[in-house]
Amino acid sequence: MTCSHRFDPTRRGVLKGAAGGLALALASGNLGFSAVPSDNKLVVIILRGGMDGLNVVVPTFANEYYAARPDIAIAPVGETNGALALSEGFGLHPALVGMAAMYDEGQLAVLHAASAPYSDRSHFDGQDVLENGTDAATFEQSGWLNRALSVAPALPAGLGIGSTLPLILKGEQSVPNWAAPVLDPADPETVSKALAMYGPDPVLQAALQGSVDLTAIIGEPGDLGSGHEFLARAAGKIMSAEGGPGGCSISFGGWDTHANQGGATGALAGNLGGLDAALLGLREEMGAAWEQTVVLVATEFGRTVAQNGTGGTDHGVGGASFVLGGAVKGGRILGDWPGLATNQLLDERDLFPANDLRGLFKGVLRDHWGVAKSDLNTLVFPDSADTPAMDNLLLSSATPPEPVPIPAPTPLPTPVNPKFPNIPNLRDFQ
Amino acid sequence: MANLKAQIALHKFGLGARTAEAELVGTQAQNWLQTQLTDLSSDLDSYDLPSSKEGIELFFAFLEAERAEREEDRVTTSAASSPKHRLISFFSEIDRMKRQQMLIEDDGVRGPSLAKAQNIYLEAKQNNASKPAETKSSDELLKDIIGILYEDIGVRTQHAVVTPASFREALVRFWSDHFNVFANKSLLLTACTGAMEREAIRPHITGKFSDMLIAVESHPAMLAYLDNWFSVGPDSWAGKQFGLGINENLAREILELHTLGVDGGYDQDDIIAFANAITGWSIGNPDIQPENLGEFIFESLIHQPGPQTFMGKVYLGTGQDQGLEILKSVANHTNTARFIATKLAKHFHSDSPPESLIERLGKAFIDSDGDLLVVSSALVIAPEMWEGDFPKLRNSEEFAIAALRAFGFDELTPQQSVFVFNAVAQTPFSQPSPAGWPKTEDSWASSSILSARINLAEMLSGFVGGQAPPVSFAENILGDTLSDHSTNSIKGASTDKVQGYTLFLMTPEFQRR
Repeated sequence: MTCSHRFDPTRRGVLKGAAGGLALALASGNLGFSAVPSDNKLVVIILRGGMDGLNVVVPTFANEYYAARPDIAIAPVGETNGALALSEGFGLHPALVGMAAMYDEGQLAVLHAASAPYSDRSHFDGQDVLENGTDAATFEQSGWLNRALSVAPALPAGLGIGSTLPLILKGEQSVPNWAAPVLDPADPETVSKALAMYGPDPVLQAALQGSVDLTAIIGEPGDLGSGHEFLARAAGKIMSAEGGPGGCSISFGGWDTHANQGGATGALAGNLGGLDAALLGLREEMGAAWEQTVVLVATEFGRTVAQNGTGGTDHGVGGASFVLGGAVKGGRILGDWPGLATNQLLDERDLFPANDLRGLFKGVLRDHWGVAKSDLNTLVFPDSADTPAMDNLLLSSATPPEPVPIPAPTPLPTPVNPKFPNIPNLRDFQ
Repeated sequence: MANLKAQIALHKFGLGARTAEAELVGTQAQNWLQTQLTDLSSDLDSYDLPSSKEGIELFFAFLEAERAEREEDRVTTSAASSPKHRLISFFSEIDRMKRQQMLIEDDGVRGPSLAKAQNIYLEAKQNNASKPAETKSSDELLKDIIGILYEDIGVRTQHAVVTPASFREALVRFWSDHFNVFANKSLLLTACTGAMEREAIRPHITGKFSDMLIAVESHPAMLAYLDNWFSVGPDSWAGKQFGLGINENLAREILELHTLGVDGGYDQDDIIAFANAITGWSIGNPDIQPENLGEFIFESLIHQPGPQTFMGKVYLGTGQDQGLEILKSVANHTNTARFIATKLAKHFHSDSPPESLIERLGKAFIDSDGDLLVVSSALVIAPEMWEGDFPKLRNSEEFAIAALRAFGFDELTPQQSVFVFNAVAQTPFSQPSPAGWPKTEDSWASSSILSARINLAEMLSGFVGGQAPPVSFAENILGDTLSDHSTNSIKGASTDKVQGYTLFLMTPEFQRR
């Protein structure tokens, strides 16, 4: 990448022209994108399965970390297979070479000990809360990114990657989705004959035409790598095309590391390598539009501080998340660190969720898309006025009038549906 | 017109025509449908698949094997210990299950791709079959449990493809979706979700709605899916001992999705009252009522005592009857009738059905106290159904089954079934939401779905050998409903038959019903 990492408003006009090569491909069909394209791009990457935040952003200063993970801990910075230096004693997993470079370039920031307002450790409820933007797994059928699309002043269009639209993108805004074909693609001649056959059925014609158009933008899928990288590059190609959508969500799986997760090498390291390649691929595909791009990376929960009996970790609460992109004021560890001493943990076993992910999401939506505070507190994240937007996340963020005080650990909200108690409570009765 | 009526019966009510089936239906379209409502001879009867009890027993065996392999101890180990210790053990087990539940994932998409588990299924079949459960490792038991789900999908799919009574199978799918359960929310559900359709849905599709409702809501799969099996009345013995409370999920969804509908005249207090009433509806497990392992149990130690006021009426009933009485009261409520009638009309007629059809079905429901034989009959004779339009876009499972029926792919293995459904993004039992699969065109007419369908159409067409020319094949399956425009499009295919068959499956007339 040769582009500047500093935001320069005069570049905006140039950027539009730079993407013109793809304009022809898009002009031929109706993708259903908004007539008022947004220049600012937002990609939300959901890591499904619960990424082990403590082995991804490693607290190399914490003796408790090394004591709790004798077989899987990542060595301190500078040692063999050691963590890659960030700041304040934190280090990135050694598989995340590209992300470490982004941190050094000031394009990536970390929010550790973070969680959506949910602490009951179920994948599905946790993903629901992360995506529906409320504080309960209510089977709410719309997601916060979809609602944000409707209230951002530029009315950015949405894009789903994957055969099923994820909850975060469901809702009143119609969002098209692209999926890597499971089967070999049909003969293009057959497809064009089907399109002609759909003359009397414009609904089917528009849907099939959309697929043809997206395929044309993406080109031969073989160009895009595989796995996470393939999905990220596909998203980048579509979003960076002229008039391409402004809001996208991508999901990466494989984070549910109950057994044999490994340390500097092994299963988790392999998946992290895929994440790293995906983010580098996304940056490359976004091209000049990377300057106006914010990527949020979040997971439904972190994992237990201690390793379990099978060389893995079980479902926990506080986890690691990232905000990165050309528009991000990076190179920083954000938020509050609750500590790893036993009395600092949640239920004496999980990293305390000191930072509410909604604050991170709100800060980005406010500063990147101009979503109004009143909409953020009610429509996008209902009843969330108590969780303020994080300030100063982006290069374009207004400088706060005063230094931001470090927020106290946010107490967990009382669950709407109290379920069953945590083990420590039960122990009291024995 | 006779031909048109046969097409309506086969495609709008049934799961799509097999070759020459239209001639079989002939001029007796309504009789052909009515017979299916009363003649059970073609029903799927020899399941040869594990019951929900057997499946859940395997699940608990899996938990024990895994614990032994991890060398972990239970909080308490003896089921004969005091109620307090048994409850402590139960709740810690629930917590352990959550913390250790594996997410069976697709490539980055929420929800499982069973296609990924194909090899697991084959291994389970080949290596595990003869080994006794108690000698198996947790990994072997896991494979067995996934195998149950595979077999269930295979059996229900093959039956749908070959059955001469596809209206019945269409009704099974309607009700199964109405009471959707997600098989991969937890491994316990993987073990018994298919069984719920066999045990609680199929026996009641032409019986009383209230019987189906009670069978479903007391089925272990539903109790686990919507978290009721560990919902605790705050004033119950266990609630007071441990400071526990209710989980509203099941009560809320019964009212919102299964009976009254979202504006069905109840409020939050009614949900809480109902949730209180059904505390104690649980699943026999190693800690609580192990003698009923894997079966519905009522456990008074966690049941909220005292009367409940639900929608203005006081329910004094004690124990299990209290929840049962509330369930019966909503089963035959007029709002339930209206809700079910609307859903049936939207499913079988179109996304925007005429009000007259909804009223007709609702009246049949009310007049018969929710007799689904009467309601389904009313659908068969409703004039709105026979007007000759086909606006409803098939969902992906319906599209795949209709294609398999048309081509006569009668010998499907379970993994082939799963492969086909996965390719068009609708694998049975893999919808996470209790609202079931999307119902309307705006969901199914998406770019990725149309693309997936034409890819599948081409793949299936490649396996059709030595059959009629595509045009005459299309005319056989779709009859007079095939438009001149579509006929000409199929005729315009290259000499390669695969293209012609692919276009036939992709015609608007085949995509819609």
